[in-house]
Amino acid sequence: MSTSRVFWALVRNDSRLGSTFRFDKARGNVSALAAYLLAFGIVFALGGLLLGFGMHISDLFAARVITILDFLITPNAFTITFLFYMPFAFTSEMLPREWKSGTVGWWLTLPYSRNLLLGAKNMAGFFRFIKLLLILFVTSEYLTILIRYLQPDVENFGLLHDLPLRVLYSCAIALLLSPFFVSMGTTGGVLSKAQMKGLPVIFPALFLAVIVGIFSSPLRAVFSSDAYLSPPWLSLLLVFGVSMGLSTLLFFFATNVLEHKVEL
Amino acid sequence: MTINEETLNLQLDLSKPLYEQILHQIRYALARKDLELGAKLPSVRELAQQLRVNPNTVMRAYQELNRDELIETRRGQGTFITTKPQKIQHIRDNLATEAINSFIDTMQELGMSRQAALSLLEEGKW
Amino acid sequence: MEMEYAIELKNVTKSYKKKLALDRLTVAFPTGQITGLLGPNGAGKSTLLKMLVGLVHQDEGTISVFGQSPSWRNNGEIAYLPDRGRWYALQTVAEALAYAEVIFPAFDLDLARKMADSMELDPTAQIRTLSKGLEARLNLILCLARRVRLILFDEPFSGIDLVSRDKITQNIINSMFDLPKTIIICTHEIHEAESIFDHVIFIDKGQMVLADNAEQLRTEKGSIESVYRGLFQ
Repeated sequence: MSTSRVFWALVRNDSRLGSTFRFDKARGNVSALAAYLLAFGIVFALGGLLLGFGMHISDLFAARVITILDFLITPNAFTITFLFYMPFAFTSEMLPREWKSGTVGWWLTLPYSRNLLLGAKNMAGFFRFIKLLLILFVTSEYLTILIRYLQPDVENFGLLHDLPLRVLYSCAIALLLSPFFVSMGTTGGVLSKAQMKGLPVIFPALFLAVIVGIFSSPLRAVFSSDAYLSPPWLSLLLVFGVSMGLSTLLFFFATNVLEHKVEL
Repeated sequence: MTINEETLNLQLDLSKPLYEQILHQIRYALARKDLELGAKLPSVRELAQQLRVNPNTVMRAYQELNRDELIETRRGQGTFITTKPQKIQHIRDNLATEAINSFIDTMQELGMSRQAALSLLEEGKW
Repeated sequence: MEMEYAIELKNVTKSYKKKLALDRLTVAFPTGQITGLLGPNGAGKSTLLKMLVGLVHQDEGTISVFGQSPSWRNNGEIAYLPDRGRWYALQTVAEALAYAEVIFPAFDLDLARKMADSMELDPTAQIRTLSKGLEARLNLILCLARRVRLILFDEPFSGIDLVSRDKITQNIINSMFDLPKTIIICTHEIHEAESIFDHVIFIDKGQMVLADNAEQLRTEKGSIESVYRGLFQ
C-alpha cells in the first residue's frame, strides 16, 4: 500500500474523530455539521418568514446585530486570537484522544514513520479549520444579505460595507498563520504524553511570544482594519514564511519527541 | 460414516497430557469397533477445532497412530482408519493386555493370590 | 528437539517511576508455537508485549524479535492486540475492515470478511454500538486477518462472554493452518485457553518463574491452571 494512500486514509479517519457529538443517546450521533446546518436552516427560515410578512426588525436591534457582525469580521485582537486558537484547539486534542478512546495501542504501533502519523493529524486539523473558515464566511455573508433586505435604512449599515472582502481578508490571515498553530497543537498534544521534565512552561511561553512578536512588529500592519483595501503583500508573505518555518521546526521536534520520549 | 467428536467420545482432562488422551481414546474407539474399518477421520484442523486444542497436539496423536499403521493419510483425500482388521485386533489385544496387567497390579497390591484373583474373575459380571 | 526462538529477551530491566516492571528478565518464545504468557497482575506481562512492538523501551538488556530490535519499522510483520484496546468507534464494521486493509500491510480483506461473517458481525453496525463480546471478535479479526509472522494478544478474553471466547479460540486455532506463525497470548483465563498452548511461560514480579512445553508440564505436574495456582497462591 503506497504511503500516500495510507496518509490520506489516516487524515480521513482523523477528520472524523471529534466532528460528532452526542445529541441524545436514544437518537444516536448527530454530526456537528448537521447540527450547524439545522441552526442555519432555522435562521434562514426565520429570515424568510420575516421577509415574507414584510415585517421589519426594529432599528435598534438591527443596529446591534450590525455592530456585533462588524466586530466579528474585522481583524482585531478578539477575532484574530479566536482564529489563532481554533487550529490549535483542533489539533491539540487529536493526540490525547487516541489515548482516551483506547485506540493508541493500534495507532502508535503502525509501521510508518512518526512523521506520517503526526503529519496526518496536522492535515486533518488543518482541514477542519478550513471547514470552519468556510462556515464563518458563508454565515457572515448570509446574515449581511438578510439585514440588507430586512432593514437597509439602519444608521450603521455602512459598517457592513465591503463585507465579503473584509471577511476574506481575515480568513486569509488566519489561514496563513494556521500552519504554526496547527503544529503548535500537535506538539502540545505530544508533549502532554511525553515523559519530559520542565517543558510545560516553555510551551505557552512560545505561544505568547509568537503572538506578541507578530503584533508588536512591523507585521502589525497586517492586522489593521483598513489593511484589506490594499493588502501589505510583503508583510503577508513574511507572516506566512514565519508561520511555515516555525511550524516545520515544531513538527520535527514533535516527531522526535513522539519517537523517543512517548511510551505507553 | 463421518466421525466426529461424539463418535470418538473425546473428553479431555486438562491435568494430563492431551495428546496421550486423544491417542488413547482413538485407540479405544478402534478396539471397541465404534469406528468402522476404512472410515474417514476428521482432519487435524477439524479435530483441533472441535476439541479446542492446539493443532500440534492432534498432529502428534495422528502421527503416532500413523506409525502404528492404525490410520493412513491419503493424499488429497484425508485421513482414514486402516482397512486391515489385523491391526484392529492387534490394538484390542494390546489394550486388553494393558487392562489385565493393571488388574494384576491392583490384585497384588491388595495382597490377593493368583488363585483368589482368578476365582473372583470367574465370578465377575461378565 | 531443536528449538528455534522467534523472540529472545536477555536481562531486560524496566522501571516505571521507581517501580520495577521487569527485573533482569531472560526469556525466549519458540518460533511457530502458541505460547501462553501467564502471571499475576503487575507481573510485567503487558510491559513485555509492549516492548516487542516498540511501545516501551527497556532500561537495560537486549530484546530481539526475529533477530531485530523492536521498532515500529518491524511492526509490519507483527499484529498486536492491546489490552483494553478499542477500535475507532465511529466506523462501521465494514469500514473498519476496509480501513485496516489500507493501513495494515498484508491485510487479507477477503479472509477478514469471511471471519466477520462467521463471527456474526453485522457489517453495517457502528463499532460504538457493539457489545464487548462482538468488539472483541472484531479486534481479533483485525489481528488474525493480517498475514504476519507474529501475533501478540494482551488479554484477549478479558470480560468477554463465553460464546465469544469460544469463537476467538477457534479462530486462533484455525489461523495456525494457512500460515505458520508465532503467537503469544497473555491471559488470566487460563482454564479457557490452556488447551491451545504449545508452550507456557510463567512470570512474576518482572522475572521468569517457569517455562516449559505445555504437554510436558501436564505430564510432570498436572493442568496448567493447577501449576499457576501452585506458583502464585
